[in-house]
Amino acid sequence: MDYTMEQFIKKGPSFDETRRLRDILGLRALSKTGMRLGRVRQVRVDKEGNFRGILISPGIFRKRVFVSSSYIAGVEQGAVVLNIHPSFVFKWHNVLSLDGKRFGIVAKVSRNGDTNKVESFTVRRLFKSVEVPASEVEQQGKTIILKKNYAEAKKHFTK
Amino acid sequence: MPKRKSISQSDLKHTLTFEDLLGKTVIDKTGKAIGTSHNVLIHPKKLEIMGISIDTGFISKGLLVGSAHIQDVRKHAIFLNARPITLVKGMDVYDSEYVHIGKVRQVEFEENEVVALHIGLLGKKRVEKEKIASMEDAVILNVKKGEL
Repeated sequence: MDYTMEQFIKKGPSFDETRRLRDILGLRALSKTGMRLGRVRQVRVDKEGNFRGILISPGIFRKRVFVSSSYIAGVEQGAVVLNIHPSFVFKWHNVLSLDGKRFGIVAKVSRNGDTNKVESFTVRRLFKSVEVPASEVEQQGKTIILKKNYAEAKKHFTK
Repeated sequence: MPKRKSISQSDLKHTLTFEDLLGKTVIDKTGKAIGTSHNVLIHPKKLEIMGISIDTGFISKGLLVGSAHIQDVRKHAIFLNARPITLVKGMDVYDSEYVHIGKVRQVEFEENEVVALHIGLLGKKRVEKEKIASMEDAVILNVKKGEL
């Protein structure tokens, strides 16, 4: 649509370099690796009108997530892309010991304040839950792999 | 018959048996459990392990993984140092502006390298590897949808 208008810009992008807010609502939110995180439900600005973040809805019955602009790599034509792999995706992932035996399942991810840095994982085992600090984790991916073998991990974390 | 190295008692401490390799969960480099090791493939003359076959589930075809891609055989699982190319099938495909184009229906590869992907409902759109920017949790192209 061709708009006939005047522009008043002290500094910053021109009209053509910006987008309508409503075009961003409903876009997919993707992690830095392209994983689907949900849909953008709200775009948040501060009192000065600066873009500060987005509210993502991961799906029905799942808690909505606010992601600040510092974790957003770009607002592209088809999606909002983050520059992180948000730690909430680790919930319900399997946890394996270093020798590959299933240790439990991630029930909760504890972070450093509101940042994406993981402090610890609450791992649900058969009859109880144990706290595993991030420093005891070898790999955080589709599976969480501990730094200890199963016997050592069982002794260390369930004492 | 090729000459083979004889084995000593000390060598035996660091060997594995077939039992150690079969029936184990196989985990790719992203940490995803892709199946269970089903068979070990051995070269008939060299007696070297060429790879393993992986049972990926009831309906799936299964996978063959060469020994070069096996990082570690541990007590309860086998860890790979790569992600099997065929697991790209079913991944979302986005263009350079992150517009969703479709899903990967078929992977065309030669000598373990992806040559092209077939995307879309019937897999009719062919995308050469030069147009692929990255392949992690989704395939991101370096061209716009209209340029395909």
